[in-house]
Amino acid sequence: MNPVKIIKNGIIDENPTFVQVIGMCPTLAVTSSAINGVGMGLSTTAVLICSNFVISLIRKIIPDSVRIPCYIVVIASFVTIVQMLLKGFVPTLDASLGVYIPLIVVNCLILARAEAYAGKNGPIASLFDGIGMGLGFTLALTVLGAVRELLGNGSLFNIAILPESCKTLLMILPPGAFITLAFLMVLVNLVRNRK
Amino acid sequence: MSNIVKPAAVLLIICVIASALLGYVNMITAAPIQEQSDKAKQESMTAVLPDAASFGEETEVNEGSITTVTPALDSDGNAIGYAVAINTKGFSAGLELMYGVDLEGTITGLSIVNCSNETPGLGANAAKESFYSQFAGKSGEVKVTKDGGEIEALTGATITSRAVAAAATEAISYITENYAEGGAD
Repeated sequence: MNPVKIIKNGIIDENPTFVQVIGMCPTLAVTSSAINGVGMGLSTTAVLICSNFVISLIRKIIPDSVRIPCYIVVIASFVTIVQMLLKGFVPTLDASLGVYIPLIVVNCLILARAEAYAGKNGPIASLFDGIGMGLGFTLALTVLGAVRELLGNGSLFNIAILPESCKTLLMILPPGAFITLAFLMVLVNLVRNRK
Repeated sequence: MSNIVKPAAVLLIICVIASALLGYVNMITAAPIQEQSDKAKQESMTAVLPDAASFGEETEVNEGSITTVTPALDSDGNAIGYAVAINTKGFSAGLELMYGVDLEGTITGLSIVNCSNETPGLGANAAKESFYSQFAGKSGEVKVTKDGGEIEALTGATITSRAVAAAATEAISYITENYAEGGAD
């Protein structure tokens, strides 16, 4: 097991957004600004690391026929616990991340990693897979959010950069998400094919 | 038979453990969560009724989009106005607003409690002071300029602006009908 290789695999070779194309709902919905992308990405990463670790620990006692319900119970419990703790003890973080947390339950990225990796590999390797995939997802969402925010709102991380007249409202609206994602995928594929 | 019983038993055990854990975390966090939401509410009530010395018991209303009404009291305990909490629909549901209305039915302030479901960059701009501060001092029927009123609507977010204006009208008429001086109080 090579932690660096597992993490690199998650960020580049099997990037969840650009290569595996999973978790598209939050990817398209919340990336209207760069900071939203970072928030969604990091909260998903936290849940993904925990759920990968726990699922890998209990993988041997879970019968094959009920593995999906078991995974869902574990993931949903984690998300709910994180949400309650944030609400109760870190209200400022909850105010900025609160809207994303329920979305994590339905993010198929987490279930996909449980099924494809944590259910077949050891806890430590699964932990690193969670870190790698989480960072890959965060990176993709941040880039997507940054492009849309810059073109649509003329700002980057809430700092105004472009003049008022350069704003293209469409980029913040849903079509902007699809257009940006398509162009980013073209870029990623160009780079990958050249190798 | 055992290939049904065993999976079911394992799933049951996992569910029991998960529920126990959730119940435990809920027990620890229920009080702080309630405290946070009370504090947030208190802050927005103070923002919309700055003259109030304290606030009285809130009343559940649940009429139209109005959820609760809380009287604002001066230092002698007399009502000087009411904080009206509203949960309405802007461009999407879950637009939460707090209006302060005085006894003459004039708005003393508006606080946008939650507009995170509105479109970022458009309707979500309702949280900007230049928009919500326009509502203070308005009375009667509140409308955006497009509908012949005085409220400058947000650029590209007429629906959100109209919803906020309609909620203002609703808050005013509810207070004048039910609580105004010489009214049913």
